[in-house]
Amino acid sequence: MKKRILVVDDEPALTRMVKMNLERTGDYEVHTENQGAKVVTAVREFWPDLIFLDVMMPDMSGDEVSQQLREDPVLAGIKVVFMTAIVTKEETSEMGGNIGGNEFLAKPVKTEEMIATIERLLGAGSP
Amino acid sequence: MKPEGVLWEAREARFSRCKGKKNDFLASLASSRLYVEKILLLIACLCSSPVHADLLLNEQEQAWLKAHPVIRFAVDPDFAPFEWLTADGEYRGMAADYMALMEEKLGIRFQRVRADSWLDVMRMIRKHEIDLLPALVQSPQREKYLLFTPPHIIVPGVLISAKDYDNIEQLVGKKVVVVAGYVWDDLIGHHRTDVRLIRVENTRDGMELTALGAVDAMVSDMATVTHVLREDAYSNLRIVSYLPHRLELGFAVRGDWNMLRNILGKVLDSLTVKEKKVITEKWLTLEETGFWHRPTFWYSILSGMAVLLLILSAMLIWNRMLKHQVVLRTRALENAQMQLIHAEKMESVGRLAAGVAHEVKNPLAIIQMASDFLAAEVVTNKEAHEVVRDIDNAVERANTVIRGLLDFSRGEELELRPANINEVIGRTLQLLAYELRQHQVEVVTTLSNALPPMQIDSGKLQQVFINLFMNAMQAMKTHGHLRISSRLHRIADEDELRRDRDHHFRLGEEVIRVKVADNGPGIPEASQEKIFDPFFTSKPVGEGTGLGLSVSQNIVNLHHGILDVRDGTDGGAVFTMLFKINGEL
Repeated sequence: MKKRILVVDDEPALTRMVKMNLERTGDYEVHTENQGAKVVTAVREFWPDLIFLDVMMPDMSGDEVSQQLREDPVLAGIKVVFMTAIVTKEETSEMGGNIGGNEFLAKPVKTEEMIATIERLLGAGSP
Repeated sequence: MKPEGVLWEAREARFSRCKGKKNDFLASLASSRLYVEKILLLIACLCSSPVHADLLLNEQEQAWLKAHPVIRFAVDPDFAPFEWLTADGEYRGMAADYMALMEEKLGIRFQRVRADSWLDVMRMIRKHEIDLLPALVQSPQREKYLLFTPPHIIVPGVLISAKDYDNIEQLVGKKVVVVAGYVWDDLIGHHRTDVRLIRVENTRDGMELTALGAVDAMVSDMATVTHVLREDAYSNLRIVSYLPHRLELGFAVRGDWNMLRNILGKVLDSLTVKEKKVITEKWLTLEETGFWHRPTFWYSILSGMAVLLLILSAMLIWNRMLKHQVVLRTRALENAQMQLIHAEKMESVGRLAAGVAHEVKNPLAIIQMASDFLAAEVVTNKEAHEVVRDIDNAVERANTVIRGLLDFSRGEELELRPANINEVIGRTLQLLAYELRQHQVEVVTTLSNALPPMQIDSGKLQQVFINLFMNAMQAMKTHGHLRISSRLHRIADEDELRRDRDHHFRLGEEVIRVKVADNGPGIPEASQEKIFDPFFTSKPVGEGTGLGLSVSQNIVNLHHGILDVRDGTDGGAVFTMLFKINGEL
């Protein structure tokens, strides 16, 4: 069974590219969302195993979206990986991709990094 | 007692000495003063109630005077101020004034007979070659051949000194001088055995010793002291106190002329208080020594000046301290202003960097994803694959610039932990070991074991060393020599502090010094000024962001250190870092 990945970013081009790159591997089913405010609804519809969540979005920040998910006991267990443009790769790698208890990836992210992160958090093979 | 004999002859010799120009001047003054005194005396006589001899004397006495039209007297030529003869032979002194008053009252003229000395005078009276002595201390011995009137010249004894005594009781154990054989010699010698008595020949000698401070005080009579003070300016002498003992002089008449003694006694009795006062004040009034002559006055002035000097010195020192404080405060303000400007700049750069990072990194992320997509599509197309790799490299370069900007903007925060800087150098060299080997760089480290641990952000300083080592490596190309040293160092040259913008260091201070030297082409002098400016780079396009050294300097400055660069003595560039020992950040 494919792992379900939700990619949230206000850049439609980016979410589309990520979806194409991940789905081409055949291991993932990817759903995209470009508005922070619609993430919870999207999650309830799609039920992802992992969410790549942009931090800086115009309507609602990734942090606020994450907060909403954490406050919902049903959704709280879903893995969230922040993607940010204002943290460097060195910083994320120094801290093992974990900053303040949250997973982080620094933009620009390579597809292989995203896959490695998914595998690290969800484990190889079927969830 | 009026002394007789050798001492008085010695005094006579002393008084006859020539005193030079000063004394000529004094003599002329004395001469002019003489006329004034005579006029005053005359006025006193005229103003007083004149008692004519006819009314004062009985018939017998008047008859006696008529029977003795010549009454002779002789004068001690050197018994000032009681009586003496001036250089012109004029008779002067208190006794002379009394004699003039007697002549005035009796309407007669006494006949002065010349005598060469006091001894001569005494010889003459004994032989009745003269009939009268105008001033003589009464004594049992003299009473054998002389008749005395009650004393008309009464002078208090005084204690004089150049020092700050208040009374004779303070002179216990002190040196007190008297004229030998004088009445004061007897008095002090017999009654004050608790003082160290010094004897001199005459009053002037005693006063000179007193004025010079060779003795502590002198005991004499008021009249003599007054006279000597008028003649000689012993400006520091003052009368300490008056003594209960007095010097009393009366008229002495030859032993067979009792009538004359009675006549003189009657006239003396008839003298008014005012008449006596005129004479007394003329000779006994000691002009008050000017307060400026008193040692206490000068002590006060000196003390005042010393206090003033102290106050002035204190004010000067305070002024200097204030100036110094002003300089320090001004410098601190300038530093604060610089720091504020710097902080504002950094904040602006930070905002700019965050904005740029967001706006540039998102497109970069899209390009990166697109590149990944294309890479999978063109696996078999070699040329297309190289294009994709170029896109990846371009993304990486752009990302490096953004990363540098972010580093630069975030330099203000340090995570300080105690660590030895040698360990940071060691870890950095380990990290770069592969790169260094690739470039065939020989690394020589001379790290001191004596360095104390410092409060540092090891991660940030590691970033500094990475920058410096990578720069050196790039400058040397291959086969270079990288020399790294650390040691305790004492700042000996002001030039070492040229980049100490916050004045954390001072000359002579012991610091931790780290040097990173390469044998590359070095840095042109013109570039050395700008090398720490953001975005300044001497590297080819694409090889450097121009932020590495700015970030490094910022990190070192945050540690209150200095990062400086110079050309090495044998070429290459030498980066020097100074850190404070146990400095609090």
